[in-house]
Amino acid sequence: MLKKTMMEMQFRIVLFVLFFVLMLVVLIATRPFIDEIMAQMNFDSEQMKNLPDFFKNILAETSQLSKMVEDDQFFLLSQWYSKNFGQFLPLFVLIMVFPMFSKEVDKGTIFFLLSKKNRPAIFWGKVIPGYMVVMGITLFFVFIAPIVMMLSGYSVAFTPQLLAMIVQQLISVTFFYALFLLFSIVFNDQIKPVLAGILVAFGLPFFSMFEGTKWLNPYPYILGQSVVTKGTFDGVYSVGLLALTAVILWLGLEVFKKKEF
Amino acid sequence: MGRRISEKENGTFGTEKKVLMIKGLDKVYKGGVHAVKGIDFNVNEGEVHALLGPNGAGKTTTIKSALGFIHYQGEIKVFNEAIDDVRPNVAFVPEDKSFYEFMTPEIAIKVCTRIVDQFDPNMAFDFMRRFSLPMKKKIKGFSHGMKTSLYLSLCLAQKASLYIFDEPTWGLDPIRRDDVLEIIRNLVIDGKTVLYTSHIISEVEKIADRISILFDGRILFSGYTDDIKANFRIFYLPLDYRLPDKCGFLSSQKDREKRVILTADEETIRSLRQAEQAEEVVPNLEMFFQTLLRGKQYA
Repeated sequence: MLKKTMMEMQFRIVLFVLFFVLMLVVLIATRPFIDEIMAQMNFDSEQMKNLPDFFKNILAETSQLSKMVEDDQFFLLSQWYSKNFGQFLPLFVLIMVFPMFSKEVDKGTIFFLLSKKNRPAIFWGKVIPGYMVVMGITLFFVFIAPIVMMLSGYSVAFTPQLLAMIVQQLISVTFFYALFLLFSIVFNDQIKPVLAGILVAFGLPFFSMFEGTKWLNPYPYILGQSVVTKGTFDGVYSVGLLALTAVILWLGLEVFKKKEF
Repeated sequence: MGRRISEKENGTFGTEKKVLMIKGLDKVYKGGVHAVKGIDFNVNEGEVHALLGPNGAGKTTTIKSALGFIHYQGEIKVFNEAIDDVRPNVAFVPEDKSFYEFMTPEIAIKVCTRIVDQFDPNMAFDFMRRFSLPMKKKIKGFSHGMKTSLYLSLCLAQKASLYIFDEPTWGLDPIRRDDVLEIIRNLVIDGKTVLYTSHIISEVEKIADRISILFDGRILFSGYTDDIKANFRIFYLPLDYRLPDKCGFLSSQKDREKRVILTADEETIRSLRQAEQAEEVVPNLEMFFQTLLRGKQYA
């Protein structure tokens, strides 16, 4: 099934690999000019106070901005993992996963699989190769960024902080993979899983608006907020997210086993 | 086609091994549509069993139930087991012959070799060559007939014991259709069993040993095709003809000019032969099917 999955995902794999490569090249190419960019965005503390909150968040703390000029490791963490690559992870997983089951049902090819294999075999036969592809691309880009920076002469290292960030992003990808997979199983056409996925991807940050529901927004975890600001790995959230992933995956299997075609 | 006669001769008639056993199959879809209403029928080893019926009769629902694609009430056994335990022994061609459009036939064979149990790639190549399929062209550009040929090739290359075909000749030209019918017939000669649905009655008459006619979720008739000509008669009677009190018939209908009776009851046949202006016809499968169905539709 790996070959079939690779063929089905071929176009999307090429698209995202090119997109992430381009993003990485642009990021590293602009690194020498970051101080000039910072200078253009030089807000003094009085100006910063008067900016709206959302704009402050975009710009981040002035202290962090200046840290980015001096510290290559911080630049990598904040610009690659917490911004460019990290922010696209949910969308990347959604685009890779949404047609996995829904397209088979929509196009009628599911009958070919259903008549050849039992449902758990079909489920794992699609889920495991799909996860390998998604994880393969993610692993490539979480590791290639520091390697390319090292080769470009920047002082970057695989510190425990960087590894903590990588682990958090891999767990996040696993969670979104299971969630979007469930949408692909539940819906019979290809539009609804995308809409549901977009709703979730863009809807989750709204939980941050209320103190009691902040924890429901996984983006601070995905983007490694605690890793960047405190240098710590968020273990509790990691375990919680993995447990939730297991439940969602089990739910997906049960729905697929009981679904009528 | 002579297989059933030899079974009769060697005394095994009526004691055939059941490859597919359906008992009390009942299916109500979520919208409330009662598609199949407690039907029973068996498919015996080494026969072509055709499921006939108009659209919405319950043919595809019956097949989907047998293959475990949908939930149902009742009991279904394939080779005396649950379908999930014998799936590699069952090959299926669905009504919708959609296959992965980004593949070429060549790649489809490679993928099937990995996915399908008991799949013979050489056999698939042979069938595709026989159907003159372009091996390096993407399936996306195939005509309906080519897609059907491709699906059939992949299905026939699976070394199964039971083959289930839902409208297997859809989109094929007459020559290719005859080729497919011959291939299906040869499956039975090789000891395989076939369950088959088609709207084309002449096709069914050519290859089916036994038929089950479905209408409105119920089986109206199940029996051997040879028995239809041997036992059944259609009588065209005057509209004002009064049927005898003890008249046994399978179907009765009135059109503008005549009353049409389909019967296998010997006493009724004898009695109707005496009627004035009665016209007796030995039905072929097409006439049998039409008369039976029209009789029920206008009942």
